[in-house]
Amino acid sequence: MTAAEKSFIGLAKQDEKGTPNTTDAEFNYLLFRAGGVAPQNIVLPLDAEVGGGAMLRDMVKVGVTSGGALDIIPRPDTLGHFLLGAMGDIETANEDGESFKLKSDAIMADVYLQSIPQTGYDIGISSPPTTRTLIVKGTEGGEGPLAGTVTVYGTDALDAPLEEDFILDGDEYIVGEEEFKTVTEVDLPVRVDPGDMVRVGWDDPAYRHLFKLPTDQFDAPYYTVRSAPGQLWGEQFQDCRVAGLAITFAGARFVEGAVTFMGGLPTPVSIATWDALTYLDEGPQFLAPTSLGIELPPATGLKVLSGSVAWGLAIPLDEQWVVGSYSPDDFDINQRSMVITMAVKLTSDTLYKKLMYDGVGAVSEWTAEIYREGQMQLSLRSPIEASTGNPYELTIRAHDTEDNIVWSAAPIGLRAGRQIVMAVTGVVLNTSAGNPIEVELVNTIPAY
Amino acid sequence: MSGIHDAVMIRTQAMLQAALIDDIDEDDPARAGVVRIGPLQGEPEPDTARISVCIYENDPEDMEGGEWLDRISEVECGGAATFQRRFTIISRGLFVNTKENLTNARAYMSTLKERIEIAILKEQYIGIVAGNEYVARGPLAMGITSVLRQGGGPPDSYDIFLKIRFEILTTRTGVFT
Repeated sequence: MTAAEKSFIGLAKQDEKGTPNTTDAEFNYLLFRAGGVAPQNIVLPLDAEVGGGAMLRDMVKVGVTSGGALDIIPRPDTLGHFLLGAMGDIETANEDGESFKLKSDAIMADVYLQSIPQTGYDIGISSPPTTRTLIVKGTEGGEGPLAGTVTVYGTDALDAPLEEDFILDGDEYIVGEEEFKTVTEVDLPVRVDPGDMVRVGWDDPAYRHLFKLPTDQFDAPYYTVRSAPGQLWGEQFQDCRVAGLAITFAGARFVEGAVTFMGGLPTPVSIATWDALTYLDEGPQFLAPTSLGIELPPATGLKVLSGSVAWGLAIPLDEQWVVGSYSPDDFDINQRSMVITMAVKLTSDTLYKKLMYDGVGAVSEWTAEIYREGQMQLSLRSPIEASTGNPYELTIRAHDTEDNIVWSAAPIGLRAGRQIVMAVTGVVLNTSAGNPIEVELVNTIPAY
Repeated sequence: MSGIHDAVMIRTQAMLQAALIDDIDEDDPARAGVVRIGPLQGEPEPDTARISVCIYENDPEDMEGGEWLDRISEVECGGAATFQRRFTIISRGLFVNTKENLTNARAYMSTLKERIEIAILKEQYIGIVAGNEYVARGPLAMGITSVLRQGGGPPDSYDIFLKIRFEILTTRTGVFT
């Protein structure tokens, strides 16, 4: 007897379609509760023909794909892969593809450099919560290399004036030596290229990954998925794309979820070189009770009993079977969707009237206005910290200014002895500019 | 080196020591006399301690052993198991030396009960790791049960028992491999 718990599934991003990733150190192996990824053979029975007798005379394999679904308790590292697969792109801080360090803009958020120096810049400047050394980072808007000197002014632990020069070096983090208690202003150099930016913060072991839709909204990375059921055999599935991702949450429970893969040619491989235990994502779970309360819009709290966020990617194979190949030509994304659902305990009529009547909850008659609200607070947290004071966290937000989520509700069913609960659904709409949706993940790995 | 149970017990003792003794005024009549892991064993005697608080894995009074066992609540492929780790806090207020009347004795133990429950709910046991097992979720309100039982001793030596159970979740990885 072989226990399913002894199985491994891992995934690694491919550089391009058709070239499976075989570098074990680039794989993240994951924990999952149920499911699997496996070959999906397409078997065709020979058509019945007159004179062929009563029995089926033959069957042939005409094609193969791979894929499957996994029931997961998301962990912070592998969740990033699922989000990248579902969203398609990630904001990077440098040419190495790293994300921004979590507190790299905590003193001063990105400021565009100008064609003349900016001295005494003090807009939106913050001081560190405790005395500490600072980092300065440039972001290149063009070919670069970004250069120049950033001078930070403030005070030291004894309240004496303090200043420090940071010499920019492209998009590298420049780590200071002085310890600042306060920061009052910053001198910024001239730009090298239009779009050059500088930010100031402090070093922190946690990273903030910002997942977004790619410029080409039909694009997404390919993954190589490995599976070793019971460690009895090994399989490699190349050219896999995330076809669906659902994150579910309910009071007093771990955040849970499901991820679905669809991919290409399966290959039996040896697991001798797999070091799954070393690269296993055994990180902490996210927890509903330690997460922030859900607000729609911000500052308007909802009593959410449970809910989910689901990404769907339509990857039809109808026009992907080409002559001369047993596997699909590609896994093109035809459509994307993102839906938020919540079971909300009602304590007033405000949300109900918005959803059922007029979209704003202001009038006493039904109108055809649908409730649109893009601003919300939906942030799932772990009780464990990625760095001091900063828990592992998943935050989902819609467009900054366009109310690009439309909300609706199912009719309420009353039941004696129970609370009044309404099932609310939000569908994310595309926007005229900018990202329709952004997902921010805080963890400790630098890049995806 | 210690297992996750011991690490949780040590954290609990430190947390209750602060919440019931160190952070409480010395003249507060509901201030506990001692917080320790396991039974008093005469160090001190319960009447000397006046209000004693003892912390146990599972429940030492669950003689059958089937009611408050640790259990596995989740198993994940890839080698992880999540356990319900269960603990019990047993307190005794033995007011034989200080001669409180019934009203006061009950009020003090009720206050103590409230302080323990709040302290447990505020403690998330963040960062406790033992080998390849870590605390994945701290106590939840819905997972706390308690009983306050008035014993003998009237008219001026009341003996009141308090028992609070709580559970946390821990995840152990690297199993089944």
